[in-house]
Amino acid sequence: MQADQPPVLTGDTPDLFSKFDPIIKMREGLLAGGQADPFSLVMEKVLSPTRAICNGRDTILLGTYNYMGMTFDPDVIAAGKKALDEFGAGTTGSRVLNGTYQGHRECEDALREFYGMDHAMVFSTGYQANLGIISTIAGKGDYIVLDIDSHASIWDGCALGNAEVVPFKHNDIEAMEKRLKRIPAGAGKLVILEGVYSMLGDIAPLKEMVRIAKENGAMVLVDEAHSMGFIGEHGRGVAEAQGVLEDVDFVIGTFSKSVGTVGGFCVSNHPKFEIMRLVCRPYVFTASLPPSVVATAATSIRKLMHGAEKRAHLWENSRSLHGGLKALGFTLGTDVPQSAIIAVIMPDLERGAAMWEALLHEGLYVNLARPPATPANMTLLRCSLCAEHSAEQVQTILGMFERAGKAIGII
Amino acid sequence: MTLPARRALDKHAAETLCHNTRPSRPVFEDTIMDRAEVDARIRALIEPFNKKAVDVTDATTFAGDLEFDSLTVMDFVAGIEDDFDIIISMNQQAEIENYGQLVDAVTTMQAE
Repeated sequence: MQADQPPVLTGDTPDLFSKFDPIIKMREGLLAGGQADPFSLVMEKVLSPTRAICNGRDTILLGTYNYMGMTFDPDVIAAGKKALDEFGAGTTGSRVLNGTYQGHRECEDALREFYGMDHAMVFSTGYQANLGIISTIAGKGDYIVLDIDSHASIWDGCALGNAEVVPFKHNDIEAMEKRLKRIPAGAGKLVILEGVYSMLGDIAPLKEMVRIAKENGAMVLVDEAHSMGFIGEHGRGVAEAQGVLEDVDFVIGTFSKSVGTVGGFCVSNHPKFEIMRLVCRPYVFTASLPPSVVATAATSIRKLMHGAEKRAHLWENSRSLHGGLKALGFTLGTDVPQSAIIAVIMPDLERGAAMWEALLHEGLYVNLARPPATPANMTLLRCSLCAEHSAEQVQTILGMFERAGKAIGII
Repeated sequence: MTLPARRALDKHAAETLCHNTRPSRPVFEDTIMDRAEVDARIRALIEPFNKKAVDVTDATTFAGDLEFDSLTVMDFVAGIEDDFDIIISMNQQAEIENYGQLVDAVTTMQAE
Protein backbone atom coordinates (compact mmCIF):
# COMPACT_ATOMS: atom_id res chain seq x y z
CA MET A 1 0.00 0.00 0.00
CA GLN A 2 1.35 3.40 -0.95
CA ALA A 3 1.66 6.09 1.67
CA ASP A 4 -0.42 8.51 -0.36
CA GLN A 5 -3.41 6.22 -0.69
CA PRO A 6 -6.43 6.61 1.58
CA PRO A 7 -6.17 4.71 4.86
CA VAL A 8 -8.97 2.30 3.97
CA LEU A 9 -8.53 -1.11 2.37
CA THR A 10 -11.97 -2.61 1.75
CA GLY A 11 -15.33 -1.45 3.02
CA ASP A 12 -14.83 0.22 6.39
CA THR A 13 -11.91 -1.95 7.51
CA PRO A 14 -8.98 0.35 8.21
CA ASP A 15 -5.41 -0.67 7.40
CA LEU A 16 -3.62 -0.82 10.75
CA PHE A 17 -0.46 0.35 8.98
CA SER A 18 -1.95 3.74 8.07
CA LYS A 19 -0.54 5.20 11.27
CA PHE A 20 2.95 4.72 9.84
CA ASP A 21 2.25 6.75 6.71
CA PRO A 22 4.06 9.91 7.90
CA ILE A 23 7.28 7.99 8.60
CA ILE A 24 6.97 6.03 5.33
CA LYS A 25 6.64 9.34 3.53
CA MET A 26 9.64 10.90 5.30
CA ARG A 27 11.78 7.89 4.44
CA GLU A 28 10.71 7.89 0.81
CA GLY A 29 11.44 11.60 0.56
CA LEU A 30 14.93 11.06 1.93
CA LEU A 31 15.73 8.13 -0.38
CA ALA A 32 14.21 9.77 -3.48
CA GLY A 33 17.15 12.17 -3.65
CA GLY A 34 19.53 9.25 -4.21
CA GLN A 35 20.50 9.14 -0.54
CA ALA A 36 21.74 5.72 0.64
CA ASP A 37 19.51 4.29 3.36
CA PRO A 38 21.25 5.03 6.67
CA PHE A 39 19.18 2.36 8.44
CA SER A 40 19.93 -0.69 6.32
CA LEU A 41 23.71 -0.86 6.22
CA VAL A 42 25.14 -4.37 6.00
CA MET A 43 28.62 -5.22 7.21
CA GLU A 44 29.83 -7.93 4.84
CA LYS A 45 32.88 -8.76 6.88
CA VAL A 46 34.08 -7.63 10.32
CA LEU A 47 37.86 -7.42 10.46
CA SER A 48 38.40 -6.18 14.03
CA PRO A 49 36.61 -4.11 16.70
CA THR A 50 37.43 -1.02 14.63
CA ARG A 51 37.25 -2.18 10.98
CA ALA A 52 34.68 -3.83 8.71
CA ILE A 53 33.93 -4.24 5.02
CA CYS A 54 30.81 -2.22 4.13
CA ASN A 55 29.65 -2.11 0.47
CA GLY A 56 32.97 -3.71 -0.46
CA ARG A 57 34.92 -0.89 1.21
CA ASP A 58 37.33 -1.15 4.14
CA THR A 59 35.57 1.00 6.75
CA ILE A 60 36.62 2.40 10.12
CA LEU A 61 33.92 1.70 12.70
CA LEU A 62 33.09 4.75 14.80
CA GLY A 63 29.56 3.98 15.84
CA THR A 64 29.43 0.57 17.46
CA TYR A 65 29.51 1.14 21.28
CA ASN A 66 32.29 -1.46 21.28
CA TYR A 67 34.10 0.81 23.76
CA MET A 68 36.68 -1.62 25.10
CA GLY A 69 37.14 -3.62 21.88
CA MET A 70 36.38 -6.96 23.53
CA THR A 71 34.54 -8.52 20.56
CA PHE A 72 37.71 -10.09 19.15
CA ASP A 73 39.62 -10.64 22.39
CA PRO A 74 41.26 -14.11 22.02
CA ASP A 75 40.40 -15.22 25.58
CA VAL A 76 36.79 -14.14 25.13
CA ILE A 77 36.45 -16.01 21.84
CA ALA A 78 38.12 -19.12 23.26
CA ALA A 79 35.72 -19.16 26.21
CA GLY A 80 32.74 -18.88 23.85
CA LYS A 81 33.96 -21.72 21.62
CA LYS A 82 34.58 -23.97 24.61
CA ALA A 83 31.09 -23.34 25.98
CA LEU A 84 29.55 -23.96 22.57
CA ASP A 85 31.33 -27.33 22.41
CA GLU A 86 30.57 -28.36 25.98
CA PHE A 87 27.09 -26.93 26.57
CA GLY A 88 25.56 -26.64 23.10
CA ALA A 89 24.07 -23.83 21.05
CA GLY A 90 21.27 -22.74 23.37
CA THR A 91 19.42 -23.47 26.58
CA THR A 92 15.89 -23.69 25.16
CA GLY A 93 14.52 -22.57 28.48
CA SER A 94 13.75 -19.91 31.06
CA ARG A 95 16.26 -19.05 33.76
CA VAL A 96 13.80 -20.34 36.38
CA LEU A 97 13.22 -23.69 34.66
CA ASN A 98 15.85 -25.45 32.57
CA GLY A 99 17.76 -22.37 31.42
CA THR A 100 20.29 -21.81 34.21
CA TYR A 101 23.60 -23.49 33.38
CA GLN A 102 26.89 -23.29 35.23
CA GLY A 103 27.88 -20.47 32.85
CA HIS A 104 24.96 -18.26 33.88
CA ARG A 105 25.98 -18.59 37.53
CA GLU A 106 29.62 -17.85 36.67
CA CYS A 107 28.57 -14.79 34.71
CA GLU A 108 26.57 -13.48 37.67
CA ASP A 109 29.56 -14.21 39.97
CA ALA A 110 31.77 -12.15 37.64
CA LEU A 111 29.29 -9.25 37.79
CA ARG A 112 29.04 -9.34 41.59
CA GLU A 113 32.81 -9.23 41.77
CA PHE A 114 33.11 -6.51 39.14
CA TYR A 115 30.74 -4.19 41.03
CA GLY A 116 31.51 -5.43 44.56
CA MET A 117 27.79 -5.99 45.13
CA ASP A 118 25.81 -8.81 46.75
CA HIS A 119 23.43 -9.72 43.95
CA ALA A 120 23.52 -9.93 40.18
CA MET A 121 20.77 -10.99 37.80
CA VAL A 122 21.43 -11.59 34.10
CA PHE A 123 18.71 -10.85 31.54
CA SER A 124 18.61 -11.80 27.87
CA THR A 125 19.12 -8.16 26.78
CA GLY A 126 19.78 -4.78 28.38
CA TYR A 127 16.37 -3.64 27.18
CA GLN A 128 14.75 -6.46 29.12
CA ALA A 129 16.77 -5.61 32.24
CA ASN A 130 15.24 -2.13 32.35
CA LEU A 131 11.84 -3.36 31.28
CA GLY A 132 11.81 -6.06 33.95
CA ILE A 133 13.32 -4.29 36.94
CA ILE A 134 11.43 -1.00 36.54
CA SER A 135 8.00 -2.50 35.83
CA THR A 136 8.35 -4.98 38.69
CA ILE A 137 9.69 -2.83 41.54
CA ALA A 138 7.57 0.29 40.94
CA GLY A 139 3.94 -0.74 41.29
CA LYS A 140 0.51 0.82 41.68
CA GLY A 141 0.63 3.85 43.97
CA ASP A 142 4.43 4.20 43.69
CA TYR A 143 6.09 7.12 41.92
CA ILE A 144 8.86 7.00 39.33
CA VAL A 145 10.81 10.26 38.95
CA LEU A 146 13.00 10.15 35.84
CA ASP A 147 15.03 12.26 33.43
CA ILE A 148 13.05 13.25 30.32
CA ASP A 149 15.93 12.09 28.07
CA SER A 150 15.85 8.53 29.42
CA HIS A 151 16.42 5.62 27.04
CA ALA A 152 13.44 3.91 25.36
CA SER A 153 13.91 0.80 27.51
CA ILE A 154 13.37 2.92 30.64
CA TRP A 155 10.21 4.53 29.25
CA ASP A 156 8.94 1.12 28.18
CA GLY A 157 9.63 -0.23 31.68
CA CYS A 158 7.51 2.63 33.05
CA ALA A 159 4.75 1.91 30.51
CA LEU A 160 4.70 -1.79 31.40
CA GLY A 161 4.25 -1.08 35.12
CA ASN A 162 1.53 0.68 37.06
CA ALA A 163 3.44 3.45 38.86
CA GLU A 164 2.85 7.18 38.48
CA VAL A 165 5.46 8.50 36.07
CA VAL A 166 6.90 11.97 36.71
CA PRO A 167 9.62 13.23 34.34
CA PHE A 168 11.93 16.16 34.96
CA LYS A 169 14.05 18.32 32.63
CA HIS A 170 17.30 16.69 31.53
CA ASN A 171 20.01 16.75 34.22
CA ASP A 172 18.10 19.47 36.14
CA ILE A 173 18.84 18.83 39.82
CA GLU A 174 16.37 21.42 41.10
CA ALA A 175 13.53 20.16 38.88
CA MET A 176 14.13 16.62 40.17
CA GLU A 177 14.16 17.75 43.81
CA LYS A 178 10.96 19.79 43.47
CA ARG A 179 9.10 16.81 42.02
CA LEU A 180 10.39 14.45 44.70
CA LYS A 181 9.19 16.80 47.42
CA ARG A 182 5.67 16.99 45.92
CA ILE A 183 5.10 13.22 46.05
CA PRO A 184 2.36 12.36 48.57
CA ALA A 185 3.62 11.12 51.95
CA GLY A 186 3.79 7.36 52.22
CA ALA A 187 4.14 6.64 48.50
CA GLY A 188 7.09 4.52 47.31
CA LYS A 189 9.63 6.45 45.22
CA LEU A 190 12.06 5.34 42.53
CA VAL A 191 14.46 7.79 40.89
CA ILE A 192 15.80 6.62 37.52
CA LEU A 193 18.98 8.17 36.10
CA GLU A 194 21.59 7.26 33.51
CA GLY A 195 25.34 7.58 33.95
CA VAL A 196 25.97 8.59 30.34
CA TYR A 197 23.12 9.79 28.13
CA SER A 198 23.83 8.15 24.81
CA MET A 199 22.46 10.77 22.44
CA LEU A 200 24.78 13.65 23.34
CA GLY A 201 27.33 11.65 25.34
CA ASP A 202 26.88 13.86 28.41
CA ILE A 203 27.01 12.53 31.96
CA ALA A 204 24.59 13.05 34.86
CA PRO A 205 25.45 15.00 38.04
CA LEU A 206 24.94 11.78 39.98
CA LYS A 207 26.72 12.99 43.10
CA GLU A 208 24.07 15.62 43.82
CA MET A 209 21.13 13.75 42.33
CA VAL A 210 21.73 10.52 44.24
CA ARG A 211 22.18 12.47 47.49
CA ILE A 212 18.94 14.38 46.99
CA ALA A 213 17.06 11.23 46.00
CA LYS A 214 18.24 9.51 49.19
CA GLU A 215 17.40 12.54 51.35
CA ASN A 216 13.88 12.34 50.00
CA GLY A 217 13.50 8.65 50.76
CA ALA A 218 13.71 7.39 47.19
CA MET A 219 15.40 4.28 45.87
CA VAL A 220 17.80 4.98 43.03
CA LEU A 221 18.30 3.07 39.80
CA VAL A 222 21.17 4.10 37.52
CA ASP A 223 21.57 2.79 33.99
CA GLU A 224 25.32 2.58 33.34
CA ALA A 225 25.07 0.97 29.89
CA HIS A 226 27.42 3.49 28.23
CA SER A 227 29.94 3.83 31.06
CA MET A 228 30.61 0.27 32.21
CA GLY A 229 34.18 -0.83 31.62
CA PHE A 230 35.35 2.70 30.83
CA ILE A 231 34.31 5.35 33.36
CA GLY A 232 35.41 5.14 37.01
CA GLU A 233 38.59 3.74 38.49
CA HIS A 234 37.39 0.12 38.15
CA GLY A 235 35.15 0.81 35.17
CA ARG A 236 32.01 0.56 37.29
CA GLY A 237 30.55 3.70 35.78
CA VAL A 238 29.72 7.33 36.47
CA ALA A 239 28.36 6.53 39.97
CA GLU A 240 31.80 5.13 40.86
CA ALA A 241 33.60 8.09 39.30
CA GLN A 242 31.48 10.51 41.36
CA GLY A 243 31.81 8.44 44.56
CA VAL A 244 28.13 7.53 45.03
CA LEU A 245 27.99 3.91 43.87
CA GLU A 246 27.24 2.61 47.35
CA ASP A 247 24.13 4.79 47.55
CA VAL A 248 22.76 3.45 44.27
CA ASP A 249 20.20 0.70 44.91
CA PHE A 250 20.16 -0.80 41.43
CA VAL A 251 22.72 -0.58 38.62
CA ILE A 252 21.43 -1.63 35.20
CA GLY A 253 23.89 -2.56 32.50
CA THR A 254 24.39 -4.40 29.26
CA PHE A 255 26.79 -6.87 27.68
CA SER A 256 26.29 -5.33 24.25
CA LYS A 257 28.66 -2.41 24.68
CA SER A 258 31.98 -2.65 26.57
CA VAL A 259 31.48 -6.35 27.34
CA GLY A 260 31.24 -7.04 23.61
CA THR A 261 28.42 -9.59 23.34
CA VAL A 262 24.68 -9.41 24.15
CA GLY A 263 22.67 -9.54 27.36
CA GLY A 264 21.66 -7.29 30.24
CA PHE A 265 21.92 -7.25 33.99
CA CYS A 266 20.99 -5.65 37.28
CA VAL A 267 23.31 -5.61 40.31
CA SER A 268 22.12 -4.62 43.78
CA ASN A 269 22.81 -4.87 47.50
CA HIS A 270 19.12 -5.00 48.39
CA PRO A 271 18.72 -7.88 50.90
CA LYS A 272 15.54 -9.15 49.21
CA PHE A 273 16.85 -8.80 45.66
CA GLU A 274 16.82 -12.55 44.82
CA ILE A 275 13.00 -12.61 44.85
CA MET A 276 13.16 -10.71 41.56
CA ARG A 277 13.99 -14.00 39.85
CA LEU A 278 10.46 -15.21 40.57
CA VAL A 279 8.41 -12.06 40.12
CA CYS A 280 10.07 -10.28 37.18
CA ARG A 281 8.20 -11.32 34.05
CA PRO A 282 10.75 -10.23 31.39
CA TYR A 283 13.24 -12.45 33.27
CA VAL A 284 10.94 -15.46 33.72
CA PHE A 285 9.04 -15.60 30.44
CA THR A 286 11.89 -15.71 27.95
CA ALA A 287 14.72 -18.11 27.14
CA SER A 288 18.04 -17.54 28.85
CA LEU A 289 21.19 -16.50 27.00
CA PRO A 290 23.09 -19.22 25.10
CA PRO A 291 26.01 -20.83 27.00
CA SER A 292 28.56 -19.33 24.59
CA VAL A 293 27.24 -15.83 25.24
CA VAL A 294 27.42 -16.01 29.03
CA ALA A 295 30.88 -17.58 28.78
CA THR A 296 32.16 -14.74 26.58
CA ALA A 297 30.49 -12.19 28.87
CA ALA A 298 32.00 -13.63 32.06
CA THR A 299 35.48 -13.76 30.53
CA SER A 300 35.18 -10.24 29.19
CA ILE A 301 33.89 -8.81 32.50
CA ARG A 302 36.81 -10.36 34.38
CA LYS A 303 39.27 -8.88 31.87
CA LEU A 304 37.62 -5.46 32.14
CA MET A 305 38.46 -5.43 35.87
CA HIS A 306 42.08 -5.01 34.79
CA GLY A 307 41.50 -2.64 31.90
CA ALA A 308 43.05 0.53 33.36
CA GLU A 309 45.48 1.02 30.46
CA LYS A 310 42.77 0.59 27.84
CA ARG A 311 40.58 3.03 29.76
CA ALA A 312 43.39 5.60 29.71
CA HIS A 313 43.88 5.17 25.95
CA LEU A 314 40.13 5.47 25.30
CA TRP A 315 40.07 8.77 27.23
CA GLU A 316 42.95 9.97 25.02
CA ASN A 317 40.99 9.00 21.90
CA SER A 318 37.90 10.79 23.17
CA ARG A 319 39.87 13.97 23.90
CA SER A 320 41.67 13.98 20.51
CA LEU A 321 38.50 13.40 18.51
CA HIS A 322 36.51 15.98 20.48
CA GLY A 323 39.27 18.59 20.26
CA GLY A 324 39.90 17.87 16.56
CA LEU A 325 36.23 18.11 15.53
CA LYS A 326 35.80 21.29 17.53
CA ALA A 327 38.85 22.82 15.87
CA LEU A 328 37.40 21.93 12.44
CA GLY A 329 34.32 23.96 13.30
CA PHE A 330 31.74 21.25 13.99
CA THR A 331 29.06 21.79 16.63
CA LEU A 332 29.33 19.10 19.31
CA GLY A 333 26.90 17.77 21.91
CA THR A 334 29.16 18.65 24.86
CA ASP A 335 31.70 21.46 25.46
CA VAL A 336 34.25 18.99 26.78
CA PRO A 337 34.47 15.24 26.21
CA GLN A 338 32.52 13.52 29.01
CA SER A 339 32.37 9.94 27.72
CA ALA A 340 33.38 7.81 24.72
CA ILE A 341 30.48 9.27 22.73
CA ILE A 342 31.06 12.43 20.71
CA ALA A 343 27.85 13.71 19.13
CA VAL A 344 28.20 15.98 16.09
CA ILE A 345 25.09 18.14 15.70
CA MET A 346 23.81 18.42 12.13
CA PRO A 347 21.83 21.44 10.87
CA ASP A 348 18.94 19.24 9.63
CA LEU A 349 18.04 15.66 8.69
CA GLU A 350 18.80 16.14 4.98
CA ARG A 351 22.33 17.42 5.48
CA GLY A 352 22.83 14.96 8.34
CA ALA A 353 21.96 12.05 6.06
CA ALA A 354 24.14 13.48 3.27
CA MET A 355 27.05 13.88 5.67
CA TRP A 356 26.53 10.32 6.92
CA GLU A 357 26.73 9.03 3.36
CA ALA A 358 29.77 11.17 2.51
CA LEU A 359 31.56 9.75 5.54
CA LEU A 360 30.65 6.21 4.49
CA HIS A 361 32.19 6.92 1.08
CA GLU A 362 35.31 8.13 2.86
CA GLY A 363 35.34 4.77 4.67
CA LEU A 364 33.92 5.79 8.04
CA TYR A 365 30.84 4.46 9.80
CA VAL A 366 29.09 6.63 12.40
CA ASN A 367 25.53 6.44 13.81
CA LEU A 368 22.91 8.70 12.32
CA ALA A 369 20.44 9.61 15.08
CA ARG A 370 17.27 11.51 14.24
CA PRO A 371 13.99 12.51 15.88
CA PRO A 372 12.12 11.16 17.78
CA ALA A 373 15.04 9.26 19.36
CA THR A 374 16.99 12.50 19.86
CA PRO A 375 16.47 15.30 22.39
CA ALA A 376 15.15 18.63 21.05
CA ASN A 377 14.48 17.00 17.64
CA MET A 378 18.15 17.20 16.69
CA THR A 379 19.83 15.24 13.93
CA LEU A 380 23.11 13.86 15.20
CA LEU A 381 26.10 11.99 13.86
CA ARG A 382 27.07 9.99 16.88
CA CYS A 383 30.65 8.82 17.13
CA SER A 384 31.52 6.18 19.71
CA LEU A 385 35.19 5.55 20.22
CA CYS A 386 36.92 2.27 20.97
CA ALA A 387 39.99 1.59 23.10
CA GLU A 388 41.33 -0.27 20.07
CA HIS A 389 41.25 2.82 17.82
CA SER A 390 44.86 3.86 17.37
CA ALA A 391 45.94 7.50 17.67
CA GLU A 392 46.61 7.39 13.88
CA GLN A 393 43.09 6.15 13.19
CA VAL A 394 41.68 9.10 15.11
CA GLN A 395 43.72 11.45 12.88
CA THR A 396 42.46 9.61 9.77
CA ILE A 397 38.89 10.01 11.07
CA LEU A 398 39.41 13.76 11.50
CA GLY A 399 40.63 14.02 7.90
CA MET A 400 37.49 12.21 6.71
CA PHE A 401 35.26 14.55 8.71
CA GLU A 402 37.03 17.58 7.27
CA ARG A 403 36.62 16.47 3.63
CA ALA A 404 33.00 15.32 4.07
CA GLY A 405 32.03 18.40 6.10
CA LYS A 406 33.41 20.73 3.41
CA ALA A 407 31.79 18.75 0.59
CA ILE A 408 28.36 18.93 2.25
CA GLY A 409 28.89 22.54 3.32
CA ILE A 410 28.57 22.06 7.05
CA ILE A 411 31.97 23.53 7.92
CA MET B 1 -2.37 16.29 26.40
CA THR B 2 -1.56 13.66 23.85
CA LEU B 3 1.98 12.46 24.20
CA PRO B 4 4.28 10.55 21.87
CA ALA B 5 3.72 6.81 21.88
CA ARG B 6 6.80 6.00 23.95
CA ARG B 7 5.49 8.13 26.78
CA ALA B 8 1.78 7.41 26.54
CA LEU B 9 0.64 5.56 29.61
CA ASP B 10 -3.07 5.92 29.07
CA LYS B 11 -3.87 2.27 29.66
CA HIS B 12 -3.33 2.78 33.37
CA ALA B 13 -4.44 6.36 33.68
CA ALA B 14 -8.06 5.75 34.56
CA GLU B 15 -7.35 3.51 37.52
CA THR B 16 -4.42 5.49 38.85
CA LEU B 17 -6.30 8.76 38.70
CA CYS B 18 -8.39 7.62 41.68
CA HIS B 19 -5.25 7.09 43.69
CA ASN B 20 -3.95 10.53 42.84
CA THR B 21 -7.04 12.36 43.89
CA ARG B 22 -6.56 11.48 47.54
CA PRO B 23 -5.53 14.37 49.83
CA SER B 24 -1.79 14.68 49.65
CA ARG B 25 -0.93 17.44 52.11
CA PRO B 26 -2.58 19.69 54.68
CA VAL B 27 -5.17 21.97 53.15
CA PHE B 28 -4.81 25.67 53.82
CA GLU B 29 -7.98 27.54 53.08
CA ASP B 30 -6.26 30.64 51.79
CA THR B 31 -4.35 28.77 49.08
CA ILE B 32 -7.38 27.16 47.48
CA MET B 33 -8.41 28.80 44.23
CA ASP B 34 -11.68 28.49 42.40
CA ARG B 35 -11.83 27.37 38.77
CA ALA B 36 -11.81 30.93 37.42
CA GLU B 37 -8.59 31.79 39.26
CA VAL B 38 -6.92 28.57 38.08
CA ASP B 39 -8.09 29.32 34.54
CA ALA B 40 -6.57 32.82 34.70
CA ARG B 41 -3.21 31.53 35.91
CA ILE B 42 -2.99 28.72 33.34
CA ARG B 43 -4.04 31.18 30.62
CA ALA B 44 -1.02 33.32 31.52
CA LEU B 45 1.26 30.27 31.55
CA ILE B 46 0.10 29.07 28.14
CA GLU B 47 0.79 32.44 26.50
CA PRO B 48 4.48 31.91 25.56
CA PHE B 49 3.64 28.47 24.09
CA ASN B 50 0.67 29.70 22.04
CA LYS B 51 2.81 30.68 19.03
CA LYS B 52 -0.06 30.95 16.57
CA ALA B 53 -2.14 33.05 18.97
CA VAL B 54 -4.97 30.49 18.96
CA ASP B 55 -8.10 31.68 20.78
CA VAL B 56 -8.06 29.31 23.77
CA THR B 57 -11.40 27.91 24.94
CA ASP B 58 -12.22 24.89 27.09
CA ALA B 59 -12.50 22.81 23.90
CA THR B 60 -9.06 23.80 22.56
CA THR B 61 -6.89 20.67 22.19
CA PHE B 62 -3.17 20.69 22.92
CA ALA B 63 -2.04 18.30 20.20
CA GLY B 64 -4.48 19.40 17.51
CA ASP B 65 -5.33 23.08 17.93
CA LEU B 66 -2.21 24.30 19.71
CA GLU B 67 0.12 21.87 17.89
CA PHE B 68 2.14 21.12 21.02
CA ASP B 69 4.93 18.61 20.48
CA SER B 70 6.32 16.49 23.30
CA LEU B 71 8.98 19.06 24.25
CA THR B 72 6.42 21.85 24.48
CA VAL B 73 4.17 19.64 26.59
CA MET B 74 7.03 18.96 28.98
CA ASP B 75 7.93 22.64 29.39
CA PHE B 76 4.30 23.71 29.72
CA VAL B 77 3.47 20.99 32.27
CA ALA B 78 6.63 21.79 34.27
CA GLY B 79 5.55 25.44 34.36
CA ILE B 80 2.11 24.55 35.72
CA GLU B 81 3.57 22.09 38.24
CA ASP B 82 5.93 24.71 39.60
CA ASP B 83 3.32 27.47 39.65
CA PHE B 84 0.71 25.42 41.54
CA ASP B 85 3.20 23.21 43.45
CA ILE B 86 1.54 20.03 42.20
CA ILE B 87 2.48 16.89 40.27
CA ILE B 88 0.75 16.13 36.98
CA SER B 89 2.05 12.63 36.28
CA MET B 90 2.27 11.34 32.71
CA ASN B 91 -0.53 8.95 33.57
CA GLN B 92 -2.74 11.94 34.37
CA GLN B 93 -1.52 13.90 31.34
CA ALA B 94 -2.65 11.06 29.09
CA GLU B 95 -6.24 11.72 30.22
CA ILE B 96 -6.08 15.43 29.42
CA GLU B 97 -6.75 16.35 25.82
CA ASN B 98 -8.18 19.82 25.95
CA TYR B 99 -7.77 23.05 27.90
CA GLY B 100 -10.97 22.65 29.91
CA GLN B 101 -9.90 19.21 31.16
CA LEU B 102 -6.56 20.65 32.25
CA VAL B 103 -8.18 23.50 34.20
CA ASP B 104 -10.57 21.02 35.86
CA ALA B 105 -7.71 18.67 36.79
CA VAL B 106 -5.53 21.46 38.23
CA THR B 107 -8.48 22.97 40.12
CA THR B 108 -9.06 19.59 41.79
CA MET B 109 -5.37 18.95 42.48
CA GLN B 110 -4.53 22.31 44.01
CA ALA B 111 -7.56 22.08 46.33
CA GLU B 112 -6.25 18.87 47.87
